Amino acid sequence: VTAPDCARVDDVLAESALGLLDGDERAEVLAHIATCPVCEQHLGALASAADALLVGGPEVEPPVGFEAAVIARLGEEPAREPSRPAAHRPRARVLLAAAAVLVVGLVVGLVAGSARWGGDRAEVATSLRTGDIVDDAGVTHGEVFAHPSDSWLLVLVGGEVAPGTYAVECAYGGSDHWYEAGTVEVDDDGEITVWATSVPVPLDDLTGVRLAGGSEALTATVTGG
Amino acid sequence: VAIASDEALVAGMAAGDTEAARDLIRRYQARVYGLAVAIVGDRQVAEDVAQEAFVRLWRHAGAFDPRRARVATWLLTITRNAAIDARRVRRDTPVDPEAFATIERATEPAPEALAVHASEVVRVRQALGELPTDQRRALVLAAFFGRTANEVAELEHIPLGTAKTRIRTGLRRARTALALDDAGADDGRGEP
Repeated sequence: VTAPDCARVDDVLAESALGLLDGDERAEVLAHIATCPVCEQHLGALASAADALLVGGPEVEPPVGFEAAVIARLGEEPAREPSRPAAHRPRARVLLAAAAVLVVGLVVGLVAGSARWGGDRAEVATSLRTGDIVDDAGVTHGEVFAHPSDSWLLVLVGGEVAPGTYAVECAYGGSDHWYEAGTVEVDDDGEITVWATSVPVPLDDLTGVRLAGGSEALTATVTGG
Repeated sequence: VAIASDEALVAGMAAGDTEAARDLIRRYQARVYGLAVAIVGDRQVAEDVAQEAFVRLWRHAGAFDPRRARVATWLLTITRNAAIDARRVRRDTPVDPEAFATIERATEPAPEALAVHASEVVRVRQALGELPTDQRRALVLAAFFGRTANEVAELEHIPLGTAKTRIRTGLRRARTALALDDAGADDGRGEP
C-alpha cells in the first residue's frame, strides 16, 4: 500500500469518519494521515460529528421479548469482576486516529516488505504496546499491536494457524477476565491475516490478547507503551 | 423518583447489575434497534445486531471512562459499526422508505418519548434540518442507513462526485451546527 496524496484521501475522509470504508480503504487513509497532520485533524473533526449525529438517528421499537433476550445473553457472559477505573486520559478522537496510524503503517511495512514478525519497530516501539501471539508450545504465530491511548487494536496471525473463526479477547491490568473485542476469520490460503478493530475502551493497560475458538490456544502477553 | 444517569447505569453494569442493564436497554433499545434496522434492512438481522451492541457494552462496561465519551454516543457507535459489518455480507439491503421518511420528518423536534436526552436529540435534528435538502438526504443515507457514496449516488440518481460532495459538505455543516468546531478544527477546505 502506498500513501496516497491529500486529495485522494480527502475524497474518502467523510466516508471514513462515518465508518463506511472497508478495511483496506481504511488502512490506506490511516497510512496517509500518519504523515499528514492536516488530514488527520480533518478526519478527527468529521468523525466526532458523525458520532454525535447518531443520537438523532431513527427510532424503532424492537419486537416484544427483545429486552428479555438481551438479559438472557448477558446471563451467558462470564462472571463479572469488580469494575476497574479507566485511566484518566482525556484526548481528542483525532489523537486516537493518529495512534492507529502508527500501527497500520507498521503493518503495511511488515507486509509489503515481506518481513515476518521481526520487522524493525524502533520508530514506534516507544508508543506501541505489542506482544507475540504464541501457541501452547511457545511457537510464534503472529503479533498484536495497540497504542497506549488508542482505541485501535490490530492483530496479525500467520499462515500456519489452523483456518477458522477465532474470538479475539482482551485482558486488562493483568486480570484473567477476558473481554471479547470481535472475531477474526483465518482463511486456509496460507496468507498472513491482518485484523483491526476499534475497542471502545482505552488500551493503556491492555495486558493480554488471546484468540479463542480454534483448535489451538493462541495467547499474547502485551507489554510496552 | 430520580432517574439514574447513563453513567450510573453503566457503572452498575460493570458491577454485574442486570437491573441497571435492563434500565439502559429500555432507555436506548428503540434507538439502537432503529439504527440497526436502518443499516441492515432485515429486522431479524437488526435484532441480532442490536442485542450484540448491548452485550458488547456490558462486556466493556468495567473499562468505560465517561470522560472520554457519552454513553449514548458510545453505544450507538458500537451499534453502527456492528450493523455496517453485518451489512457487508448482504449488500442488497433496500432503504426502508418508512424509516427514511421518519428521519426526514424528524428534523422537527419530537418532544414525546425523549425524556432523557431530549435536548441532544432536538439539537441533532435541528442541525440536520438546517442543511439544504440534498445534503441532508445524502448525509442521512450515509450516517443513519450506512450507505456508501456509491450507493447514495445510485439511490439519488446523481454522479458519484456529487454524492461525495453532498455527504462531506453536509457532515461539515452539521459539525458547525452542532457547535463541535473548536480552535483549529477548520481546515480551510470549505465548500460552497
